[in-house]
Amino acid sequence: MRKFFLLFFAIGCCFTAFGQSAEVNGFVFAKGGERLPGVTVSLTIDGSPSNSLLTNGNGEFSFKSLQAGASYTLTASHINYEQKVLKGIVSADLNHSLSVELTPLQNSMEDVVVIGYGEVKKKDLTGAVSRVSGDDFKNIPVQRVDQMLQGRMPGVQVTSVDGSPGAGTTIRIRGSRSINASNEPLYVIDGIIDAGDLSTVNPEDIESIDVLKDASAAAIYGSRGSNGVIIITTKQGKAGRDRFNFSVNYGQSKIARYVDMMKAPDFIDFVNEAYTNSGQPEPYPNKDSILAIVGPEGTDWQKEVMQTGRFASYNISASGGTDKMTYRLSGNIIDQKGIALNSGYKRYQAKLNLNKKFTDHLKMGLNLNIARYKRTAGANIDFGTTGGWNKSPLTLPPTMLPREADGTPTSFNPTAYFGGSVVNTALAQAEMITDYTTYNDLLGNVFLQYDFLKDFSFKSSLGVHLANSTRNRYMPSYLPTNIASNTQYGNALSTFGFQNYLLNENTLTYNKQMGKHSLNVLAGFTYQNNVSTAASVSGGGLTNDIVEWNDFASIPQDQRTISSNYNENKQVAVLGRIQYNYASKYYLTFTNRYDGASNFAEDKKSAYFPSFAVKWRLANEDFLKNAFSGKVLSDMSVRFSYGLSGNQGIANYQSLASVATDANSYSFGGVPALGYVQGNIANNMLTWETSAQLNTGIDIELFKGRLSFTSNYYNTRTKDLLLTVQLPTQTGYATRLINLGKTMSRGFEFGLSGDVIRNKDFQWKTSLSISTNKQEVLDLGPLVMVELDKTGYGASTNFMEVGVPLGANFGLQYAGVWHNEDEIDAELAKPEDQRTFVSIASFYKPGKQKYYDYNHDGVLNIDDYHYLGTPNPPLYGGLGNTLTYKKLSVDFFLEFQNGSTMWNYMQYFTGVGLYLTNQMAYMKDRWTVDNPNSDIPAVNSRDNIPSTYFLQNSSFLRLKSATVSYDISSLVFKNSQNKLDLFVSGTNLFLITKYNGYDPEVNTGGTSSTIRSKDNGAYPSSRTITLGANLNF
Amino acid sequence: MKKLFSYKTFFIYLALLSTVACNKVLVEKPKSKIAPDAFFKTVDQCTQATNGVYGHLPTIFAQVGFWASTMAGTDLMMYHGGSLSIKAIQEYNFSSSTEDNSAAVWTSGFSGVKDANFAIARISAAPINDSAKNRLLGECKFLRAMYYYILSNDFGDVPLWTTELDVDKVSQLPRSSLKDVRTQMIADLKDAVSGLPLSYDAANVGRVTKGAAETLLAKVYLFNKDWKNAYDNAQSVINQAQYSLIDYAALFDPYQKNKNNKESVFEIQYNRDASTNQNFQINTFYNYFLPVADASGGTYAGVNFGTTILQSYAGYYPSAYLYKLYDTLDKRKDVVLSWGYNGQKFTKLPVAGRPWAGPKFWDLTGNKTASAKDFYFLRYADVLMIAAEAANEQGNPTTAINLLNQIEKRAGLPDLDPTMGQQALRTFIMAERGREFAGEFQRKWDLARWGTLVEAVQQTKDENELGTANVKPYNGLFPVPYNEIVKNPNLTQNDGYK
Repeated sequence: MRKFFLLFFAIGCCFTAFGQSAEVNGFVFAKGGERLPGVTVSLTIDGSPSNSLLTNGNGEFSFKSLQAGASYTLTASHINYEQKVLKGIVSADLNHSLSVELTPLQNSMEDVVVIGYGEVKKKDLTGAVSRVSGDDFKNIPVQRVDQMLQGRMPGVQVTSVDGSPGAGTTIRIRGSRSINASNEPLYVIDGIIDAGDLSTVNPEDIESIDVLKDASAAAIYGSRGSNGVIIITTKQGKAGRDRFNFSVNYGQSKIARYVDMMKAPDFIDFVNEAYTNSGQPEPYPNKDSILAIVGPEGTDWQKEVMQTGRFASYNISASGGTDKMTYRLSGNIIDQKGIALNSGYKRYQAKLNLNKKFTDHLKMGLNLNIARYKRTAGANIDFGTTGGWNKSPLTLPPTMLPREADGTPTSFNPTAYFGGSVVNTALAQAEMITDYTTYNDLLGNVFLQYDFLKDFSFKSSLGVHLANSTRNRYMPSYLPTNIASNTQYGNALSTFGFQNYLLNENTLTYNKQMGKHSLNVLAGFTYQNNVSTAASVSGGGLTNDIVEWNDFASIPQDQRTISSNYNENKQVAVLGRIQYNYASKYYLTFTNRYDGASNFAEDKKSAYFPSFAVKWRLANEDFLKNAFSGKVLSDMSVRFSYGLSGNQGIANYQSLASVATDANSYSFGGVPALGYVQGNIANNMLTWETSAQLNTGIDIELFKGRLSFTSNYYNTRTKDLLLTVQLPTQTGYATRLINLGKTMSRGFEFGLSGDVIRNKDFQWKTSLSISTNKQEVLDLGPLVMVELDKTGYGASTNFMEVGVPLGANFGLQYAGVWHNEDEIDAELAKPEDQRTFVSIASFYKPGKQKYYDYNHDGVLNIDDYHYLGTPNPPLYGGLGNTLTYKKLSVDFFLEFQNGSTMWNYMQYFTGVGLYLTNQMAYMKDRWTVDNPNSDIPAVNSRDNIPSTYFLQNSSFLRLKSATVSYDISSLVFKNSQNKLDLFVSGTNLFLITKYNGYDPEVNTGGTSSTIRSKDNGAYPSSRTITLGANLNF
Repeated sequence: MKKLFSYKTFFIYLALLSTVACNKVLVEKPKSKIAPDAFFKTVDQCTQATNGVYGHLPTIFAQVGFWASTMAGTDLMMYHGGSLSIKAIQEYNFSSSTEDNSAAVWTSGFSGVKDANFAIARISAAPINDSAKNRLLGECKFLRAMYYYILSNDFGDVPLWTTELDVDKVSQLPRSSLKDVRTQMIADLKDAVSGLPLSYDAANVGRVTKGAAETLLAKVYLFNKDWKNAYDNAQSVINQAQYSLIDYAALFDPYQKNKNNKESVFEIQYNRDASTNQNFQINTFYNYFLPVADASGGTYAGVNFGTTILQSYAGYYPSAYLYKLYDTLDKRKDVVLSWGYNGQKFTKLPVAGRPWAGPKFWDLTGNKTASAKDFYFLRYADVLMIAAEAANEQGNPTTAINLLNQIEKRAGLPDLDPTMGQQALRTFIMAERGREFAGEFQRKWDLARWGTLVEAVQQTKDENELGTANVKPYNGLFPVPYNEIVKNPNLTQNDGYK
């Protein structure tokens, strides 16, 4: 078959080989068949360089007007292929045509890595940079670009905010450093810094994602590089014939697992006991009569609000071009129905990348991404927050029917307080409240590049991000609580956000090869302006359910609430980088950036961030070359870097004094009056937070690149933290943002990848990534224990203290419950300082929680709170495998984290026997007079003490994705350039964890700097199975 | 190397160039935030800043912790349910780190002080006419004195500052003596008295009047045991003839029909539109006093209030002592206490044979946890009783009896025995303040200033055994919040507390 096609190509190219003068012409093709456009072909005639050109779209080249009989040397080179040299004599025979076969490079060290304002070959890389390429995700449906990083890269920890359709992620590169400034990395999308919405980037468009981790690599982004930099590069067209790709995915998803709550029989026993214990009559004196109504297990509220989700995605792309102009055009539609009622995600997106070469010196390019998406994230549904204890699926009593006989959701929660209360259940919220946000987004970047004086290149680019979003929410008049309170009015809200971002970057590059000296110098100037404005209108009192948010004039004037906002941020930077190497053995990179940002105090806006890196590529030393003859060891180098980078991730205007409005400060004459109070306190010292990072690494490649290994050690110290410190409240303020304190984050990273088996019919590729991370607060100035988070019901759960990791979980060591009065009496008989156990004052009763007395004073108070566990996994990583047997290919990816802990906030209600809510199933083994040896608290044992009783081990092992695909091209097409894969793929197929909520990999702290893992009503995660087809022609 | 050097020169040149450019380009010009220097230019702006100082009142008075700090652990109210920290106050079983009720008062009180200081400093320097300036300063100074009145009654000595915030300085400020704090309050109130009008037009009802400033001034003198000044200032309010006693049941109408009535001297304004359920400033006070809801829904201890959207936490109930305080003829009894409503009897009582808190504490226009029930901070009955107590302490029981008879008459009670002596009258006033002001955030402070807290708690021995055993004279003040001492080590702790 292959031979047939080669012949076909050979015939094809002959038609071009005509003319009168002697020529050298032909075509270049890849080993295996395909013709290669864009290959540099250079010709030397009689020993002196003659001409050099690129192959055209059909891989053809032609050198004309040559003298027949001259001897030539033809060199074909391409970055992804081994160089090929052919020698011969120029023939007068017009039919003489060369076919040049290139062998793909096996050595990944020749791969190009994007480093910010440039790219280098992996072998020449001096910093710590990781990369995933779009090809790694072939046939694996991924909705968001950031999900592509999950578990794939050493040192990069990606956590989903929750499981809702289109949910974002929170990413830590080499741990957290900052406390109040952002810890999220900087994103650069096709050269546009810190702008753009990841939701609008289609993973199918991704060429590669490079993550700059160490200071040397990130320092070119100076100010904003301290949290690492994620550079997203989209696919560009390649010269050659037009190529098309069409792919379609369709799948279904379900909730991955339910939380184990009490069923009706256990709940009735529990609530009867809890009421009796509170001196109230039993709500369900006749258990059987209730079970007869609600069924033997009662209502399973979790199932009531869940549904089978659906996922469909369609992609189309076309690319191609000539050596003068290339293009890639793509479009994508995603339509997703979430696993919770009334949630979903819909996106339309289009992308155009265009490159035009006017002359050999001048080119222009455009990257344009346009998207519109609508996200219904389930924000209207309470999945189990502590605040929603009377209405969430985890807390509603199983003895309450979900729907009335007519199908409408019920609303009387019989156990919300003694006597019950009318609530909007999660089911009513899901079915009655509309809440979605639509986004329109344009991200564009146009550049002009001019090469001059042989070695110089000037590039100027203009990037824009124009985005708007509209959130609409409508709460109808017939919500149960409205009916109950006889205020049957609709309530509408619209929030509008606009962003107008502009980036201008100008860089000058000097590139020179002088013998064995190789020098690359970059200098540049950038200017960035980001204006965001927002407006919000809301109000109740709507007397119809028709207009919703579409006619705010229908809302009585005195009930309209209107607000608007303006934010402007400007940044300027001067940057420079020198990259030097000698004989590809000794490398030096020196990077510096001088940054100014508007959001700091007047005289503190500017800062300078230098860094350097050195590298020794041992593999090129003769002694190693001889020792291994290059057979076993194909490459090896050691790296070291050190440098500073900054963080300015705080809101604007924080250094300026202000007055703040209070729209309803007080009422005079029965009318609310506008008031002003003192707002922000001026801070003339507010400035950059600075991180100093040290990195050493080693890169080894064995067996011509079949096995590669990279390891790094890093140690980052951050000082002048942008820290919200607690003030003595006698100042009238609780907190203030200043620069104070030091933190440390260090760890090892290991990455291993290899072609384990590479037979003709069977291939096995594997990649493993393992990272360790340790964080510590080193200095907090005069501050001692700084509270970071609390439940809202009196339990402070997270603190910052010198010597513990950032965002540390604090509380007491749980010691079970008091089993009987004798045990209590014996303990209280001891002197206070000799007691082992303490309780809160009123809990020295059988069945109530006792804790180890941390400071041995016999009293339980905040002084006993101590470090219990880290929310940041000390060990995490992923393992990917691709097995291919002939046309069948299996790919699976495992992700894990180990050693971390997190709070399941719901247990503050559902794990302490509170009479108000349903309970975790384990509460049926609670302490009772008849079960006196239990160490699970008795009914009504809420003491709001955070302890190891609530703290959960959040370690997990997850089968993130698995895909089986089959290449059926040969069955369908005669042309081997056409390709059709069919595949079935699953995500989140299994999860092994001790965590007792929905999923340990959530963070309802959102992108909070310090709250890394917390579960307070996160949208549950789903399990998805999709079928798909991918067609290339 | 030469190349390197030239590159560096180029870089430094660019850096220098940009430093100059930076400073101009990077200056922030916020459009959605106003700098204080650009504000306080007109009477309207100064009035709005004054409104902001009022804005802390509904916050403080809606705090569960504020009610607990003035009501729990007294002889009038008993804990029934809710936060265990309220029970801890009643049982005098708390420490500086666990007592979070008064800690909330500390925070919100100083929040008010901060904005009062800010407004006073800025309005003083504002280019506005003197009459407007004096009135606005009068309002702000009254409010500053009021915030310090609340703080000093809960904590005794407190940090005293009166200038616009210098955050580094104020963060380290130690406590000033109660004497110095009250001296400042008196100075502020005197300024307020001279700057404020007797009354306002309808659109400004709720603002501080001259009478309010004089009443608070009289009260501060009373707390200082400066009987003469207390009497004189109270008498001055009486002489203004701006205020009069109204029917006690109307004063505490459970439908909130009589806000800002003739008896009201200074009232904390709450505001919601019950017809549309639109809330402006609200509180949950009534939730803590309404009888428990029934399982069937819609009724409360068997009684139908004609509205089903109330919510009850049943947090407090009247003590046996308060129940016994009232004479059968006392009209206030059925306002403060309740056995039923509208002909219906409560089927369930907090304790056998004892009533629930009455209509004085209810808001039958409330919706769940939203209530716009106003609170009297100062009312005319208090003016009379301040004058009476001051007169009695000055040795003029007859003057006192004449003043008190106005209160008795309104309560439907006969005149006092004109031969009552100073001591008998003193004991009477202590009980009468309980009858008259139960639930009006006065009892704890009154007991503390009289030094009778311990014996008052003894009165509740049968229902508060632990509290009776634990209460000590130093419990008249709350501990300085532990967290505040951690943040500002210059703060000392009150005697008796760890």
